[in-house]
Amino acid sequence: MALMRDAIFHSEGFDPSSQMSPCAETRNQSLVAPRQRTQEPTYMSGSVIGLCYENGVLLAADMGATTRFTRIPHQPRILKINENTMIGVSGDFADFQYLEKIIEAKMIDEERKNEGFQMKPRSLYVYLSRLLYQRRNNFNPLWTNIIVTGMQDGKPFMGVVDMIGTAFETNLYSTGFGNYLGMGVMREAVEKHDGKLPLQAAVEALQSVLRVLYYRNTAAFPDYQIGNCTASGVKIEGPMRIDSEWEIAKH
Amino acid sequence: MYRNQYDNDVTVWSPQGRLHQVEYAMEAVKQGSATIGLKNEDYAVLLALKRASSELSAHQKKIIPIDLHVGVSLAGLTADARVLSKIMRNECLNHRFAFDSPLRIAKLVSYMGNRMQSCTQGYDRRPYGVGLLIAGYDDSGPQIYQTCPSANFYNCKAMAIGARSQSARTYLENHLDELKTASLDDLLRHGLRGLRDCLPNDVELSSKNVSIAIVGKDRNFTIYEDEGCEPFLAMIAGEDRGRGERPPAADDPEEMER
Repeated sequence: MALMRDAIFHSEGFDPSSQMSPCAETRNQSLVAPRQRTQEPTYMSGSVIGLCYENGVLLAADMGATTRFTRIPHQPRILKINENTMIGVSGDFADFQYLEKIIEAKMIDEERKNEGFQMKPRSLYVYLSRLLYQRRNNFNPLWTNIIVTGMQDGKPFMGVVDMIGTAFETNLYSTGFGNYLGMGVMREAVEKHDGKLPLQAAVEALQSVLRVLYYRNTAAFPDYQIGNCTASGVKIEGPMRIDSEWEIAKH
Repeated sequence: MYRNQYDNDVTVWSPQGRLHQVEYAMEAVKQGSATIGLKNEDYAVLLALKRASSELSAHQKKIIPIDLHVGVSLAGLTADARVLSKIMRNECLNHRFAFDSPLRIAKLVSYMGNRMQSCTQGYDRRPYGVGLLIAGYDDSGPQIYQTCPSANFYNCKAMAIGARSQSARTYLENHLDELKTASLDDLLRHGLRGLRDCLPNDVELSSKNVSIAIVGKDRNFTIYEDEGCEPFLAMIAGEDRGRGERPPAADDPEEMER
């Protein structure tokens, strides 16, 4: 609301304080809103899910962003950062696009200064955690949850950063709804293979989580991407479509 | 008093196209006691000769640790080296905070190059009067860099700077082919022999006047001083001096870096 008032006043070149007596100013103080930062997200995207397997790490996310009224389909949310790093971002879509831009700038800068040496996933994860924590300290958070994955010195790596700067390393994670609906499925898959999850089983676990999320979340999209990072590089596949069966809904 | 009329401040060119103040600063490096840096495939090593200003005083430290993976040895004004090392420590710490990884040596050195250059370009400033040998280890292996007051920096296989260091450079040049495949002990032997060549005839290497630092694979930057040097000194004990063909003594015929 405050933002709307601002927009109206400013678009018409109307400065309420200059038009009012001091007395009126006090009375109408609520009209002059203080500057406000993001109070809520606008276009939101769904869960990103990630899973470390035997010799690499996978990320999966549906493609698109929504408000309560509108949908933008076919928006990729998994990014290849360099040959050994990829990230998946959920949350406010504009903030994701902003992050995309500054990460790209950072990567170009690093490559230039480091004679072609590329930033490692762990460094990017820590950098993003510092960035997001600073933004929340300025009461201007980047409304995103980020999963940073990749190969760190030959080993699969996964780090999670949230919008208030909380950061931790783990071997499987899901942002958003998937945190409630998908973590169990993934954990079960990892435990069943005694920590040595083969690629095929990992992909199947992710697909089943995506399907559950698609069934349960009106905001989810049927198209998805899966990113795979191994010692030989980052490969993002998709868009692929979740096979779903809606006939059961009639019962 | 002035050598000429073109050296009043660092911004004035001489008609020959030289900046005398910068060149004088380069001379300060040659007044400092000698220090040597060299590396093999896995390790970078610094060796330095320490001086004591009098019989009663302790020897002045020559090697400064910067971060776990990098350190410097200095020749020239110690005070300036401390300023520079503070800047370097800061950069390394900031990098560790922001990226949780050690700062790459090439990046550190090029940053320092920029910092040192800016003070050669203003009449209200002076160049740093110190030369540094920066030894570090990162993803591209062990590194030795040399920096000058002129703000030039050089990536080196081996280098010696400071007083009478020409003899050490000659020694290192003669043994350059052996360095890369040398063991750590051999590397230290080469370094100590080179350092010994920088001494006047009546002075010997001892645990008092030698500092040694090693950094490399699975090995943080470690400084050895006093008794810590003795095992290393024992490795060349009893050898004849001058195995590295000493050039004619007297002043260093060093070429001025432009």
